[in-house]
Amino acid sequence: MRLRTRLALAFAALAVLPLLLSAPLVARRLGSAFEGELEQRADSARALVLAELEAVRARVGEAVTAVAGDPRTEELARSLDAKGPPPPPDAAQSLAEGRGLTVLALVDRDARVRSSAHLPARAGDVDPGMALALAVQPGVAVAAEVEVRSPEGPRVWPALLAAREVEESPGVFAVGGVLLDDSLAAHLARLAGAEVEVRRGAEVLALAGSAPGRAAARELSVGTGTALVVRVGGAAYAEAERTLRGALAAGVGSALILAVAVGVLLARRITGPLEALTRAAGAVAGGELDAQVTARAGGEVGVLVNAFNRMTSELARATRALVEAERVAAWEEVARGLAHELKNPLTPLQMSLETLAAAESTGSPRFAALFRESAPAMREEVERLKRTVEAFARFARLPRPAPVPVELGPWAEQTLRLYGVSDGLRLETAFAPGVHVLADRDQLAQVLHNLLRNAEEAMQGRPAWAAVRVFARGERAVLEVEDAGPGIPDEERGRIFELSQSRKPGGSGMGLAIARRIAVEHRGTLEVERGSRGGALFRLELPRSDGSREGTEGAAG
Amino acid sequence: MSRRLLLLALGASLGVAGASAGAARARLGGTLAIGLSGLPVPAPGALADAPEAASARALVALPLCRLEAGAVPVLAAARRRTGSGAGEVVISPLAGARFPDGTALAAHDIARGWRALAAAGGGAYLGLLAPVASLEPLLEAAAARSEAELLLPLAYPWPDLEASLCHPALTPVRGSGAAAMGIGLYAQEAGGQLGRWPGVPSGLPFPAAVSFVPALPRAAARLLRTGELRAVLGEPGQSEPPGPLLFATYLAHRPGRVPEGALAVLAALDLGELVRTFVPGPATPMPGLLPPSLLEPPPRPAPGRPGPPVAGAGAFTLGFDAALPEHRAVAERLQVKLHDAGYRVRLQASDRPGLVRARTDGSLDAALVSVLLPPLPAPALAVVLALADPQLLSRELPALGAIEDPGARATRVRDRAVELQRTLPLVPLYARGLRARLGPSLVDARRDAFGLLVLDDAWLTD
Repeated sequence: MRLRTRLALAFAALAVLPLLLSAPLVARRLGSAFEGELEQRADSARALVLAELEAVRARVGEAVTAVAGDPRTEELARSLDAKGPPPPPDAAQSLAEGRGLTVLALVDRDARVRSSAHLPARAGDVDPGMALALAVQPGVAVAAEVEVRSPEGPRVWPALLAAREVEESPGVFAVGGVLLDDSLAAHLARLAGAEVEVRRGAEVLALAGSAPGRAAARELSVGTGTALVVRVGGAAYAEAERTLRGALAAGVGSALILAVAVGVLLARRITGPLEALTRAAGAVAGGELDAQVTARAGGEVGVLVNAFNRMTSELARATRALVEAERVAAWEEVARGLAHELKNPLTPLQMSLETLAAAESTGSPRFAALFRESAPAMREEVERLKRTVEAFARFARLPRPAPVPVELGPWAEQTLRLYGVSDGLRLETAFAPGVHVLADRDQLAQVLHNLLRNAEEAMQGRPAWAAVRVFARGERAVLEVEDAGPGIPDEERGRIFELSQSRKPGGSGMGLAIARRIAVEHRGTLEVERGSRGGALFRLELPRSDGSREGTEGAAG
Repeated sequence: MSRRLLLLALGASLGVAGASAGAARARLGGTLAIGLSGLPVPAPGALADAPEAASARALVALPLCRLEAGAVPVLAAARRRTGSGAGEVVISPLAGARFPDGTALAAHDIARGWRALAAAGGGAYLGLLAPVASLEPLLEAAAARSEAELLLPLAYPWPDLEASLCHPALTPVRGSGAAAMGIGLYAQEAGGQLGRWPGVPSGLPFPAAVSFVPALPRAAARLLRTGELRAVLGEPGQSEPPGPLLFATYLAHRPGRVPEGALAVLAALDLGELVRTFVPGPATPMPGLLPPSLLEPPPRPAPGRPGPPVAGAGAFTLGFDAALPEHRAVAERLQVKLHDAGYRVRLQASDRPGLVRARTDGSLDAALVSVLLPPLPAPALAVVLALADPQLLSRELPALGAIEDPGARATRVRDRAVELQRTLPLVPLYARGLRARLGPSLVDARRDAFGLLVLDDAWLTD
């Protein structure tokens, strides 16, 4: 992971971690606050329902008292005992209307129904629920169970009932009340803003209102095994809690994004000069010795950048001086070699000329014979001088390398195909992939050409075998050429790359010198040692490159 | 005004004229306002299976004849026996009988009216025509043709056919549904009133118009006192003796669908209490298959002790006619009593055609059914058999029709009724009559043999 990424993440983590640690605590406190509020609301709703039930009891008592005193009730009660046509069994219905009573019946003292608004079909029968209402103080509502209509037949239902004797009709009682049904549950639910359920044991008789979400419930016992369950929904709280949690999460998220952005900026500011230094160091390694870091930086990093820039400037200057010195040294060597090479043929030439001059000055009769003897030798020495001068001229004309990215393996394979190996030479190759260098392809080819030619010349009269290998060794790319020749004696290895050190008849003595010079100008080395078969093993080592530009530049070159 | 014979389908020789004692005092004109307490305003095409509805309907839709009090049929149809066989009856529409749209009464109107009975849920009344050979194809053919007369060949002798034809349900009808119209003393006018209709051969009625006024019982009584109403239907009369109680109500059940225990509970039901508390009078318990006026109440079988209901088999559906107020009260009472005995009864209210359909397609296990029975035992039994099991008609009626003596025939009918009650899927409950309270300003209103209010000779004192 890059330093910049690590730094950015570190900054973000430092900024967000406290928020992440505190968010659950805040959320928990929030939840418990809402929970408490919900419980309080449930208590309030229960109190409201309880108060309204008491009010309903009071209203039932008043309504039944009013019915008992209504002249129409008295008329109905009288008609029940009259000899004429009896009133219809649901005649009590008109008495219940407008009084808020869902249960009303006229009964006699033993609770036999005479006329019923809520279950006319029970007329003539004893209703135990009515008997319970008759047993308590007149006009006081009690919880009882009465039979009511249902599609499947009479159904026992809880109700609040009160009874009072009909005025002027002794023995006839008006028993009325309110069923604990959906209608009353809906009324209570609206009043309390809650869900109200009428239960008898496990059976839910009526249900109204709603309590969405997590709910808090309170139970109110009404009597005769009936209870009201008041349920307050926590959906609003849950919604508020969700909103706050969402806001908290959004805050944490925003902080995270902000922290990452700030972290990235800070990391870039810190690592920018370092990355520039890294790139410059890479450039230096790639040969751009005067690479400079232009990024602005302060503090220790700024000092480092300045030091680096000074170092590369100095390195470039020193390198230029070294190259100049090497060039001078090379020329010195060339001059020395040239002098050496010229001196050898000049001496016999001088001696032959002096001999001829002496013979001619003395008028020696052997002059003509001497001349005939000396002329071929002198012509040969002159030819030799001419070849020597041409060879040095070629060496001097060697251009500066124009490096391009080259992958050594494919390049060597292609070069060997163009080289045209001699018949009878068994050539072994081993090219590792991905070994890239920055090199002048032509000069590199000349090196390989010179080394192979040297190998072929060295194996004259021997079984011809040579090996060319390409591989990487650390940051260096290696090209090896091994032959099965007699090898290079240890004492000659130091001078084999010098000019005019050809050990072969007819050789110019310049091939290995040119190869080494090309190696040096590519900031590489060319060494020789004994090969595995006793022959010579030449090893060219060059700095490796990443090869990223090879495709385009190789194609262009 | 002469006593009316409603000869809508009359051979000229059967025109009957009679003088009414009060005719000299009768006054022409005025509006006869009739209060309807707890009843819907009857439509001209409605089924006449309740006394109040039949009385109101008779103003706009008359049968072929009228059966006067004392069950003496004043025949309105010509009868000619042909040969020595069962004979046949020929009905000839009387000249001058016209529908409110001005068209003359034709034989096919009679056939169409009778055919429409089944669709309206009054199929039981076709039991009155059961002795007619091949009744259904005959009516279908007659309804499609324009014949001058309607020929009714009898499959077997049936002396009471003329009386049967006077049943208020057997009216000629033109059109169908809401547009159906009959021929009566009055015809529907714009604004809901009924105006005198001259298309009745026997002449115009005394009051110029009739209006129906829906009224609650208290309001109806007050309006009657003040003279704003001349009569109230649906309220029991106080001074007038009740007419015959021929409006019979049964619990009809599909065999095997109602638990035996539940039937035992129903058989043991205190009908007196049921009638006294839940059926508006005049009404009477009906322990036998026919009303007490037709069948001396047989001793009720001793009620067996109903066993506990079998789990899962103690439930059934009971339908009733939503148009009849006492049906709901009675159905709920039966439901309560069966509930106390451990049976679960689901009630289902529907109109009369829906009730008949539900009974036919089997979606109801039982239903309360009311029919207006003729005042003669044999036709009454025919209606009951058609209600319970129409296949019994061809088995039971020929033997009864073969008895020429009316007294002997009635006795035989009663015997058969007692025997058939054990097997028919009917539980007789009660019979009731017309609830009508007449004001002092309405004169010469009377009851016919069905107990229906007859206003043909009625007139208003002011």
